[in-house]
Amino acid sequence: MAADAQDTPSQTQKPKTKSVAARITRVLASVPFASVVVALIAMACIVGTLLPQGQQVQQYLTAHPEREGLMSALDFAGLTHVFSALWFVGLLLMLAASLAVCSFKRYAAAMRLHGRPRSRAFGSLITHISMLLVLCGGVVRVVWGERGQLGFREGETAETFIVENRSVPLPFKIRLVKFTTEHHKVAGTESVTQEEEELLHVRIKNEENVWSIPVMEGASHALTAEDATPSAKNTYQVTILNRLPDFVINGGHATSRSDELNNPALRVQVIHNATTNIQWIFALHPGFNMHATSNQIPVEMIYTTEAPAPQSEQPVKDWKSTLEILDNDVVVKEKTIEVNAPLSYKGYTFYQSGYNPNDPKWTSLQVVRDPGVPLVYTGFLFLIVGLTMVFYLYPHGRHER
Amino acid sequence: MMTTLFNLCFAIYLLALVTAAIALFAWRKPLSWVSIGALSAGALLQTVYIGMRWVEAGRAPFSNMFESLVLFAWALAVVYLVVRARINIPALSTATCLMVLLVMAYASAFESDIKPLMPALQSNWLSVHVFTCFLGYSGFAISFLSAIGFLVIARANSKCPDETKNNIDMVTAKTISFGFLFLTVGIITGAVWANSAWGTYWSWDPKETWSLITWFVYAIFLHCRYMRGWHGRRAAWIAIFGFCCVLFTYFGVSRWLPGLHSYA
Ligand code: HEM
Repeated sequence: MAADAQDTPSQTQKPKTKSVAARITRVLASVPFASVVVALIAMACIVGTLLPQGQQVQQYLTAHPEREGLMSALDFAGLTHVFSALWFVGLLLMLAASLAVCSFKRYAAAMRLHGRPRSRAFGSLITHISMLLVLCGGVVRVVWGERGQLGFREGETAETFIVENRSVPLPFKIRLVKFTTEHHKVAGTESVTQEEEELLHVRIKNEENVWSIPVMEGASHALTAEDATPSAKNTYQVTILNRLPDFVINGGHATSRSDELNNPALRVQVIHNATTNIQWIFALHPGFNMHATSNQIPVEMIYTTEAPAPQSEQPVKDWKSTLEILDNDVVVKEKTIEVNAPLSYKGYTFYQSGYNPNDPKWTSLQVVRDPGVPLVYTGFLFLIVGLTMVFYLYPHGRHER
Repeated sequence: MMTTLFNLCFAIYLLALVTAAIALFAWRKPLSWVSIGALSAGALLQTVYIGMRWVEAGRAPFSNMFESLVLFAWALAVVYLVVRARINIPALSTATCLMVLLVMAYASAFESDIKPLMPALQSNWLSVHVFTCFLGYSGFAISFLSAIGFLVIARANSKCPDETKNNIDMVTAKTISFGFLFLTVGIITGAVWANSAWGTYWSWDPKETWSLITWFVYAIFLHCRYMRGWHGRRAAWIAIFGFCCVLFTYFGVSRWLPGLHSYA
């Protein structure tokens, strides 16, 4: 490597007219160019979070049908799927090229001058290479990775999983030995008596009254505290915007995986006193508010999907599946998985993902194969090591002061 | 009991602010030591508060707006004490105390009940993630204050000696380096957590994306400063812009951009 670096063609040819390649690499390795690329990526990210993306576009059009023309224009410009658009991938590739060229050039220069990179330069080399590793890991994930689900009941064995409606074989079998759920103990949970299937219970803080609203997308109710006259100050306008029976986050967006009530979620808007608050409410996780702003409007909401049995009134604390892997019909591995503790075998990882409140023996698993993860994690480690070297082990202090 | 402790912390931080302000405007040097003592005592007491809440909840108390603001105030005080151990800039002390106090006041506007967590949030990676992010944010917050300080004294150019300016400029750069390292660790532990909870280390959710944008802005700062020699005003403006991105990531995303992540 050292010898290579010392007689690179660019060095021997440099004194003569510069080749196009040399000029391109010089631009790629320059800090202003890199800064512009990074700034462009940052701006693309801003666009990607401010404009509706992917499935959000459909939701947006339902709310604003008159903006159809605008949306198709944005779609044409590739702005409604920024993070998978070719131009965005192109920007990332430019960043990767810039990182690669500047790392190589710096490395070669250090070898020429000192025979080895000096300590600080070494830190910055590691920093930049780490980001290349992360980007490479991302490429591997997109090209060779797979992700899907499988659902089964206690005692059943699966040999395939589902990736976007198509069945994909596993190179081994997996059996669900046992499935259990644990519940939080919450003191003072009110018992709800309604027989209705799906209800949203709303209580204004410090009020006795609980309104139980049948769940329907688009339904809107104006609730006024007892003894108060309806006014902006006393009235809470509650609107059910979306209902997802099987809530998952897919590509950063909330969607429903199926019509089964596996993880029912409601997107609810509350307007009170000129403040609007939109939040997700989960039937299975009453304590989990995805919106910090929910605290600004003093209402409490609970979403129930059945006349609650004594146990399922409590929020679910954890759910666990005991799994067995059968390779050539021999049990090679057994593990009890939970939400944060998956099972991995032969590059496949099984994550606990859902359960069905009406079928306590059934569970769904997320199946992921991502051969890029080791690269990405190595990159993460290098990044932390590199930055620590640059900032703290060999800091700039000396020539700064 | 917990509320009393919270209010006591608030009162001590208020004392730190008042004494720092008097030390700054009336040039009472000993008072600056009182102020630092109060800030340290406040931070210590707040450590106890966080520890008690941890025990009571049976998990790291970093999971909603109230808890994250308390953590932010604590990290701000602690990181500033480290800066203060190296360099004393009275105006920066005052500004930091004011900020700590504002964050505490804002925290008290949120509900402080301890609530159970959904399964995906019960993870040590998540606690490390939130903790390191907030250490990073406090570094950036102090760099923001010192950048504003720099712009103020650079405008009132007459009296201020160059050494003071250079010192403030250096505080901006050093706290950004610190913040950058911890934001990096924060983003990474968040990615590792997401991968262990649902098998994706990155899904371009608005909060993730905005933390990446913030990270890019500070990466540009580091390159401009160390490779192109940007100091003084230009560096200060990037530091201010960077902190605006932090604020948007922290508050703005939860408020205006829907997504999974809005709990902290
Ligand atoms: C967004 C990704 C990037 C990050 C986070 C990053 C981070 C860093 C850091 C932390 C330093 C050390 C600053 C210091 O000395 O205190 C640095 C230096 C440097 N960066 Fe980057 N960088 C990135 C992308 C790039 C790219 C694409 C280039 C290509 C031109 C580049 C070129 C350089 C150079 C030439 C140095 C000086 C190296 C040295 O002192 O040996 N950086 N970078």
